[in-house]
Amino acid sequence: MKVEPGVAVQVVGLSVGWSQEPLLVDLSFEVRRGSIFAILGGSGSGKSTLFRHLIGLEAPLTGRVEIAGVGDPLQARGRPRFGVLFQSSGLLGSWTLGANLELPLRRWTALEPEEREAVVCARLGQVGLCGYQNHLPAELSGGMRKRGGIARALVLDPELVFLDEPGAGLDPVTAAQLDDLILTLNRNLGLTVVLVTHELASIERLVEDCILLDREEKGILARGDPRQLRVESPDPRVRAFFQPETLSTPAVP
Amino acid sequence: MEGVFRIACRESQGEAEVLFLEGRLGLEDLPWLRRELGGLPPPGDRVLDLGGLGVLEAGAAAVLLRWQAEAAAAGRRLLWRGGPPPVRGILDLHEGLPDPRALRPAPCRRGMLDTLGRATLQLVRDCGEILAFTGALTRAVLRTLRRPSEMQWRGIGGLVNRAGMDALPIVLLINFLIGMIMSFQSAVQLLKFGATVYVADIVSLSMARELGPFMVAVIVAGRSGAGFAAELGTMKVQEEIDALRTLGFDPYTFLVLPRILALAFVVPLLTVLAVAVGTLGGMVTAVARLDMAPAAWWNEVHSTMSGWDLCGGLIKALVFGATIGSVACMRGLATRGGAEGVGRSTTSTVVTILFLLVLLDAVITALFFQFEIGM
Ligand SMILES: Nc1ncnc2c1ncn2[C@@H]1O[C@H](COP(=O)(O)OP(=O)(O)OP(=O)(O)O)[C@@H](O)[C@H]1O
Ligand SMILES: [Mg+2]
Repeated sequence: MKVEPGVAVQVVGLSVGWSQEPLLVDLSFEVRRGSIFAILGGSGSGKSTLFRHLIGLEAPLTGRVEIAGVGDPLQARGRPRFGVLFQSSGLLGSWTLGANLELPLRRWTALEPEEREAVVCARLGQVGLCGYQNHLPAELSGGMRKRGGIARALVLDPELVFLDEPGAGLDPVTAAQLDDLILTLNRNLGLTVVLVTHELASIERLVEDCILLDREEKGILARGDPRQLRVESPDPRVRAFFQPETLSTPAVP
Repeated sequence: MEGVFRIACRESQGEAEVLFLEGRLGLEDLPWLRRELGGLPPPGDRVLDLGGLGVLEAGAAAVLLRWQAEAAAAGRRLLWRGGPPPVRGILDLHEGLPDPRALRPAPCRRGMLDTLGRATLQLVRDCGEILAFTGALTRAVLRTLRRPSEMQWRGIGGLVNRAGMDALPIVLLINFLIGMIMSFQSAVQLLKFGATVYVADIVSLSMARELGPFMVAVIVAGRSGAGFAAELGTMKVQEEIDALRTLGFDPYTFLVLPRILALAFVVPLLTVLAVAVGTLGGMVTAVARLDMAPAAWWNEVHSTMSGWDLCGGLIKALVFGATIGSVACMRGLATRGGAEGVGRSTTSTVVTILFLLVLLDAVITALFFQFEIGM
């Protein structure tokens, strides 16, 4: 199977979960090239699990994932064609932040050490971590580790990145700067972004297309542009997800 | 806007060499572009015309800026002009970032004296750590004596199972073989004197007093000592220990004491079995090589081995077990850093334990000899 032109990630009939107990059944969707796509859903709805299948870390129960230029991510070899940020950042703990970013550059490009240093510093600067290249991950705060993970996901300038909760644990200002960075790269480089997020503000600003997963449905509750889903969806659960403030608050006695 | 990167054409404009770039400029194209720039005739400016460039990747932009800085330092100029909005947008991303060369750590060279000083400080810190650990452990013991319900008594069962039952096959196998080897080696010597009957004495006494406890301790150190250190180290690194504290648990009562007790129980128990199979192994060799009757062997063992010999061995085993548990937990709780820290703790646990085992063995043997216990 080849992905259609204009599609970055294609998912067909995907079921994921654990042997007897499927978590999500028969998912099909596609991520358009150059778009910012969000996987949404309540906590425990299977976002991170779906994410791990998209990047080829786990074999699905049935169905398949295809990535443009890669094919089946389970079989991907050689220079990574997409960047990944894990929910817990995944920085190598015994390497400095700078070394974490330099590692893929050293392996997959023919740059001189000086040039690698320039790339690393620029990448860290973009996420507001300039000057931290000699720190170990253990010496950074949780939000800083997250941003370091994003810088590492972007360091090879992939055309596609997968980000698991990039904004979690960041203050509103830093989170907004991160959104700016994602938008800039998306507009200027045509970067395709697949992200898992809960931040309604970033969803509002960034996301053009999304799927909303649901635990009970074992699948997709809604899909489309979140700005439209928010007001136009016939399903009250979907509207409630995008407008939690409309849920009735218990009356104060 | 995609397309392979290439230099569409080059021109000399007055003093300057102009390269017209096209396509998508990424990290992998830079080495080639670097060579092309380096191959230009030396004098004059280099100008990159970005007008035809579709995409400038962010990493490549960072490298272009670095080249510009390097050229300026060498008294030349590298300039660029034009460029569609996406390319300018990426270049703007890097405006105003500090030069990374200023951020390099100062190289530190350590002299002999410096190294010696650091090692001494480390030693002092280690001693402090041991004291602090002993103090906290004593407090945990006292508290447990006062309120035994606070201990994880049920957890001990699982630990005993993991450290004891799971180690049983390897303990039995190794000690059986050791008994056979001992028997064979001493028989070779004693045959010269026709005193082969004493093989039984040598094998059974050395198994009970020395080899049994020691071999078991070495096996348990390698299995459970390393395992406990890695387990507690990982918990420490992932803030699980801190979390336990905030939940009102003392990690010493909750994690350390059960592990020490479990090993103090398991090592003597395994030692009894080790002595038994070791003596059995010795008999097998004796029967096969010296034509000794099994009954004669057991008679000899029975007449030389006193309860005190076995007791001495068991006391050693008890001390060894407690030591293994304590060192493993202490090193585990002292872990810092990430995965590498856990590795360091595990390594130092095994090394420290092996050293302490030999030391303690010598001390206890000397004490027994002094007070004529089982001698
Ligand atoms: N290794 C595993 N074995 C069994 N069940 C698992 C495993 N990992 C996750 N699960 C279950 O799968 C469900 C989805 O987990 P997942 O991590 O994908 O949630 P999520 O949508 O990313 O939630 P969050 O927003 O909290 O990160 C959870 O109910 C979890 O209990
Ligand atoms: Mg998750």
